[in-house]
Amino acid sequence: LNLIDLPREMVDAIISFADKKSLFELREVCHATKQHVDSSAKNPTRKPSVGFMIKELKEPIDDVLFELTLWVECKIFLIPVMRYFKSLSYMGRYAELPKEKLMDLIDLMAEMLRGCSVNYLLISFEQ
Amino acid sequence: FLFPIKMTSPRMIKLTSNDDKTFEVERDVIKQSVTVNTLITDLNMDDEDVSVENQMAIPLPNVDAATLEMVITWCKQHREDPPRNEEEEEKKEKRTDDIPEWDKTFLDVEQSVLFALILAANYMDIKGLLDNCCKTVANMIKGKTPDEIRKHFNIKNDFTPEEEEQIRKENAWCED
Repeated sequence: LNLIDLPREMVDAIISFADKKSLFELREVCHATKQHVDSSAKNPTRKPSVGFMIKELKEPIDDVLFELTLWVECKIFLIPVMRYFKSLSYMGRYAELPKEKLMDLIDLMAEMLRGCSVNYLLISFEQ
Repeated sequence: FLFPIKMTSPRMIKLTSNDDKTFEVERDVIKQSVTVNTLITDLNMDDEDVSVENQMAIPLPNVDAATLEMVITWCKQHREDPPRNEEEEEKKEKRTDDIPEWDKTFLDVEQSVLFALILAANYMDIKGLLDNCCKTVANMIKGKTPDEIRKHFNIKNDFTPEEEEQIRKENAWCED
């Protein structure tokens, strides 16, 4: 019995206790763990920075959209996502976003805001 | 006046492992397993008229005898633990430095034993045991490079050099 033989929910339980750095290391271990860590939306495997977001704006819009959706699904990176939207607007790339997907994202963000405590918002804005 | 004192022995429950070994365990000890607890309630096994000899053993087809013995030992050790409030547990910060000393020693076993315990704790729905097992494995992962993780868990690297490079690139920006 090996770590990667455990059922998905068990590995989920284990990585919920791992720190972010370990999650990044796990992505590099083998296909099974990479796929697992990437698709485990409950665990914030991404730590977006504004610098990265600006850099990423050069990427194809589909990739940008994928990243954005992932962050929103992680329900933790609210402020970076908002900054990202601002950057997209600033660089005039809003138009490239398919309207339907943009609306889905906005819905998701609204959902996130509803679930946020005042404390969380205060901490997020301090970033 | 002397009143006769009624000595009541603790209520026992029989559990059978997948390799046909039967264990008798105190009802109060095994209540930590939500799976077993539900079965006992659903099957009206708390009925005091049924003696342990006539009692049906609860089969645990996903747990072998060695693992079940460990699970029972853990439950005995934790029988006095206050009941968990899962909602509160969910809100708690996920830490791995709060494993009790007894559990640390108890879970210092071969990986295959630890993983079997994880599976059993999940199947028997014993959250406290599952958490401490998962924390133990998370502690094994923490602070290790991908190569060290592979070595520790005997995992074969199935990435091509190109794929490995791609993942490094994907991960690089995270380390700011």
